[in-house]
Amino acid sequence: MDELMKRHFEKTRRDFLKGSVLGLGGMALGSLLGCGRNSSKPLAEQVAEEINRPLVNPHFLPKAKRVIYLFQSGGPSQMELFDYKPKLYEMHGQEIPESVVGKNRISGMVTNQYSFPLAMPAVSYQQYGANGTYLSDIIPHTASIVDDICIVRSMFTEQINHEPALIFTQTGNQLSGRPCIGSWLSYGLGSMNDNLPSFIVMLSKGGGDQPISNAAWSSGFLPSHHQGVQFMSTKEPIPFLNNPNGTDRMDRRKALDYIKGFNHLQNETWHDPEIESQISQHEMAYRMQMEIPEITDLSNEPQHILDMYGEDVLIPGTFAHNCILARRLAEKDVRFVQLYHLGWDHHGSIASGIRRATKQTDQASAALVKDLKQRGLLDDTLVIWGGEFGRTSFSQGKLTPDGFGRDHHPGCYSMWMAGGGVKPGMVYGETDDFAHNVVRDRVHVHDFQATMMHLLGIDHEKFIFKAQGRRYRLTDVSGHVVHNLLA
Amino acid sequence: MIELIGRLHPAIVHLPIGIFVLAFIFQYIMPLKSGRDELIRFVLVVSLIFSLLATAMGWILSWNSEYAEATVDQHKWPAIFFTMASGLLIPLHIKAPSIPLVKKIYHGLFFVSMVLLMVAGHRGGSLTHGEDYLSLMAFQDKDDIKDTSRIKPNISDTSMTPIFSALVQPMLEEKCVKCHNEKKIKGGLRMDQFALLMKGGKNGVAVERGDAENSLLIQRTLLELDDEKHMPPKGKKQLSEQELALLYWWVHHGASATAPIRDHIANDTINPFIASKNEQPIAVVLPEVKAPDSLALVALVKIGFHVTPVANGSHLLEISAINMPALKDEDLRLLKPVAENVLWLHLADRDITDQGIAHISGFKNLRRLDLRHSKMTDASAAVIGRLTSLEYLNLVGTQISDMGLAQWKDLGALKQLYCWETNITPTGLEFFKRSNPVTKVYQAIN
Repeated sequence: MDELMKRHFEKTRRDFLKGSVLGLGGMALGSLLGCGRNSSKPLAEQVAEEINRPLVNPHFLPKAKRVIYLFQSGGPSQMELFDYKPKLYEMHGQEIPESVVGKNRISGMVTNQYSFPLAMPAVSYQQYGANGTYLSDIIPHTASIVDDICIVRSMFTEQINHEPALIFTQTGNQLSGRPCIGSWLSYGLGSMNDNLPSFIVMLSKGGGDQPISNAAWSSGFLPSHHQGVQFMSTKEPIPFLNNPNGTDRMDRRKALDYIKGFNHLQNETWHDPEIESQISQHEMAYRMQMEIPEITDLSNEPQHILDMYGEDVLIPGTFAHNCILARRLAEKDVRFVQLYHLGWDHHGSIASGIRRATKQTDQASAALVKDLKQRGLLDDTLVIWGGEFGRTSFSQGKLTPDGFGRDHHPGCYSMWMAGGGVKPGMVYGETDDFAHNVVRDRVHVHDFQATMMHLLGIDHEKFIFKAQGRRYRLTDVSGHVVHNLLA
Repeated sequence: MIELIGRLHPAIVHLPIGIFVLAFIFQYIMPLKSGRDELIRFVLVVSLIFSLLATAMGWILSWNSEYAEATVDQHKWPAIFFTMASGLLIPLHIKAPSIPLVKKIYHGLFFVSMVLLMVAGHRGGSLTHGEDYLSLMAFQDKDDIKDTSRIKPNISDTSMTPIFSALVQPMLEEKCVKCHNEKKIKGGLRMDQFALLMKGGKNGVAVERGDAENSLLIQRTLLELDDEKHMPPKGKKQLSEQELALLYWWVHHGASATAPIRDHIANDTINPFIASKNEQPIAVVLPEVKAPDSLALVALVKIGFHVTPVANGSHLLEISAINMPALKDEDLRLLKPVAENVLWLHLADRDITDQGIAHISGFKNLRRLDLRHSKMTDASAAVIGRLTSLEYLNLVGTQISDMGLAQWKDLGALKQLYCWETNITPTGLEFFKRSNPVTKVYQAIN
């Protein structure tokens, strides 16, 4: 409780100061106007209620304590992975019916197209698992965990371009500037391990060309020490963490104490929460010096475990490497681990492109779930696999046997979740025969976020931060918990 | 076509009532000086015409009645007698001025007709609006009890109360039973008793146990509000999202009349439902314990334990030793004063031995115990075997063997046992599973 409580108490102290200043003024004003008797509570208390506080405890008993979010950036094609549509094989080359497309938005990249021929998936499908779930043959490893995961085929979003769609999924708003999921959780629930940040971000290399901005792991208006700490794709994931030659740990301690003294001095004058963020970041860095090297050192992992994750596992910056690190961070009770894999944006040559992407991600994603499961960690760790939108069932550009591609499609896409109180071995939702519109059990991005918060014991409607004069939630003003997804 | 005519009964039926009452007024309340007899006779004739029409329509309507026959009869016969009596009044009225006896009979029959009219009208109203529509009780009910927000599920005894009687039945009574009861059996379905609900109605079985999606009860509630078959019908009080979720969940889990709340208490469908009734969900989910001793908490935090309340308003704790690389066996002694409060305990990757684990003996609310990669052996099996609330036990990478496992004969609450990388053999596991059929055992996964 110490770290949490300390933060909690510091916050309360500040709030009290703010509250009492306002309160005293308010009381004086109230008595002048003769309206002091109308309220049963002192004004100071009313003001204090308005002020932002972390939750410290969940609202109710959580099912999940940690989240590992395997974000597949670029828009993985639902038709080539999870959403089997036999009709597309039958109607290959024919125009997508007008009645299906309707007035749905299409991206600027295909507005010049006169023809929208349906393209059959560049893969074949088979049934897997106890329920005979149809999955694409290019994700055999995911197929091996199909009884552990819950596939949602009925996701939909509001954005059609990468950056806004990604920011929408991660922060609940299309424009950057709001806190992301990890920051909300770090702020709200705090850290479970004093020596590690509660929110860590890892990007894999070698994926694709779409850049990804760090607005996706920004803390927005929340105190800045809740932003995601990014591990670099190098041997030394956090730069300058090791002491330079000739400096030892005691020197570092002394230096930090000195700096802390100055910071405290400044803080007494300014009472700026950002100064406290700075102090806590310095301290965190100091403690991480011990912990991080131990986590990133894979030399004590047995060979059969490394083999599970695939041949790239020892190369820093690969998705497989990041997956095994994610598992090691989960073992250390890091609240939120965010992975980003790029390379799902297949506007052309999807047949080869998507095979490259699944080769990089399929085995390690499945290995992570299995590895967590055998360690007893999947039970309270929520693993999420998915991107920012889906792709069109019609071809972008000319429909050629190998060269065809698919454009962005926000109307429906698939993702999966595992562990952390999610119903295993389930397929939720349904799209039409053309994987274009959701026909049953729509799940909006805010619904997904609300459900995730629910699993962590948080009522998304009560987790609010007031900034710049209005109240904010991760789910903005909408979102419903999808109770059917819960175990 | 002819049935459609029957359905016009409620539209026509009020005409003879009003017209007959008008005749009554002319006859007794505001006697007219001239032309009275002609007027009364005319009004009686018009009343009779509409009475006959309404009766005929009512008769047709009763062919396809959704109401119990006995209830319909209570309305039907007074109405028919009224029609006959009011018809008889016309010849009597013609003869009345000349024969005094007829005059007496006429006045008597007029009053009898009036009473019959009232009886028939009231019973007709009871048919459409429900038996208790006009009773004082109904009014009190509406204000005090039937107000949704004030209905509180009876969950004081969380242990054995059946979900059906405590949560499902009050909901059905409030929103369904009005039209599906002994007296009014819409669609041939009665929902006032469990057995009758299971029996189903005219359109077949309402509840397919364990298959919510194919249960008419669920399907009908999920239809669009504008759909003719949507239940409760448009305009009536609808099921809330939480109520619907609970109903779905209940059917999905076998629609049992007896399954106690306790078995499903940690369920996420029941909780929002209970919360929507202004109850604290937490009080139902978790055992009530006293607040932990604050000095004991300080002592724990001081040596490095993470101590967190598991949820808002609960005195139950999650305790973790993740930041205590040098945790010693004696340190666990400090947990004793908060024994009742510990719900989750994480001692993973710590060098604690059986001596340390002995200190958690008798933690009666402990649900999760993580001992992975600790130094525990079979010697701790007895202590763990006495943790009656234990649901999750992680022994990955410990020295536990078949000997220890064999001591656990009936770990009733245990749902998950993790024992990868231990000395447990398939034979030992087989033996354990036989005496603990509910527990799921997890080992290496490939």
